Amino acid sequence: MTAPLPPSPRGPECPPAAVLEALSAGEPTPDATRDHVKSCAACSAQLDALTGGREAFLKARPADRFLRQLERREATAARAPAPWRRFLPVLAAVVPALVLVLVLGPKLIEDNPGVTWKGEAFRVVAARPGAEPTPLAPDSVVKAGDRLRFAYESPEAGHLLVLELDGRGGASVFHPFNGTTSAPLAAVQRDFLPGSVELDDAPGAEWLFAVFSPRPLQATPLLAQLREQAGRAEPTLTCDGCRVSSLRLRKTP
Amino acid sequence: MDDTQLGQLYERYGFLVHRRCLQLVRRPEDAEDALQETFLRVKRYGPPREGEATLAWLYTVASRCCFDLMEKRGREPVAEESQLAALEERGGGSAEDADRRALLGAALRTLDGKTRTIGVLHYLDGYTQEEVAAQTGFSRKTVGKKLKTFEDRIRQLFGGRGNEAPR
Repeated sequence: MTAPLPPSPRGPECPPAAVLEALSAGEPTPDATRDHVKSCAACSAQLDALTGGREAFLKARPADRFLRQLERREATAARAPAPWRRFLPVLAAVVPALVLVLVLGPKLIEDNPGVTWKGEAFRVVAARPGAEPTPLAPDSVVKAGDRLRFAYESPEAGHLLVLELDGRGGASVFHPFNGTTSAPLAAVQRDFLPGSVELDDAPGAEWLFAVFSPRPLQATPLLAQLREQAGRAEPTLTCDGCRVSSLRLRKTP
Repeated sequence: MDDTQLGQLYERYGFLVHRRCLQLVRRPEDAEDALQETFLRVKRYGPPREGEATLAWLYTVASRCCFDLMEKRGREPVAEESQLAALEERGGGSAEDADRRALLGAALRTLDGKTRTIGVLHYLDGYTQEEVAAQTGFSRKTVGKKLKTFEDRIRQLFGGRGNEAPR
């Protein structure tokens, strides 16, 4: 049976459609990609089509008109009765229960001897040959050669980076492994993230940071922040609009 | 974000965001609606940070708006015409292929978040299965399996065009 949806044809050297689209919008693109596009008839034609399409689009829908449409839409939305008012009776029943969960929930989690989350549902387990995977709590002892797996649960979809700062002051990206940008994360993702990471022999404190954001993240500035804090007792990460969870492990040889 | 910044963002990315919305929701009036909603959310929540992949971020917001819209309208796009063939300058294959592509948004709507992410990266962003695996951190096998689920859904929708998809 043939594939029901053949992907768009693309030569072996051609960049993905999304890269050509970013190029057409003037986003930074590697020189090699630009050189290829110049010499490839199919990519040049696609880039021209995108550029032409944008010009025609803006001619038909100029920015000032679009902004006025947005203003009208905002004004209409402001006049409409808030949909949540219809749910007031339900809210009245649910809110007390929710308050109980919020007050008692953290206590229940503290009592749980398994994986401990600091702030968010960031879970880490260590897999050792011939043993069951072990959930890791703050200051758990790990060894060189242990394989770590991660899980991160968020009620909404977004983007996730898992970063590491080791005892030698080295910082790296654990998820997506050695990546430069965050990986997309589906909402309410309960499974462990794909892949695992084998710990090296850098001794001492091993800090793990899960950085969740509704927007894609670049790893480089975050790694630089971590490297600057090498040796500190409590390194921290700041990132606008992100949720950062951390876990300190103790690595023995 | 003020109107000047928003206008600049629209001039640079409005066409691409509208194109992505049209690929997902198909109906021009729905794409217009999703485009406006995308930029309203941008206005509300602020611009991406300097150096961030702005287009990828806008595509994420736009996809959410499109799926929200589809949920709200609760209807399937109808594959009675091959509008997508005209949109996809690189889209090869027959008119029937284009009709099946047109079911992409409908199929994605009924699938889980992981499959949606993989489907969008492969069929809209044009990444190969290996590149999708590298970007998302999923194994090549998982990517292949999720795309198979997605293709089965397309096949199912294509076989019963006009019917409401199971929810």
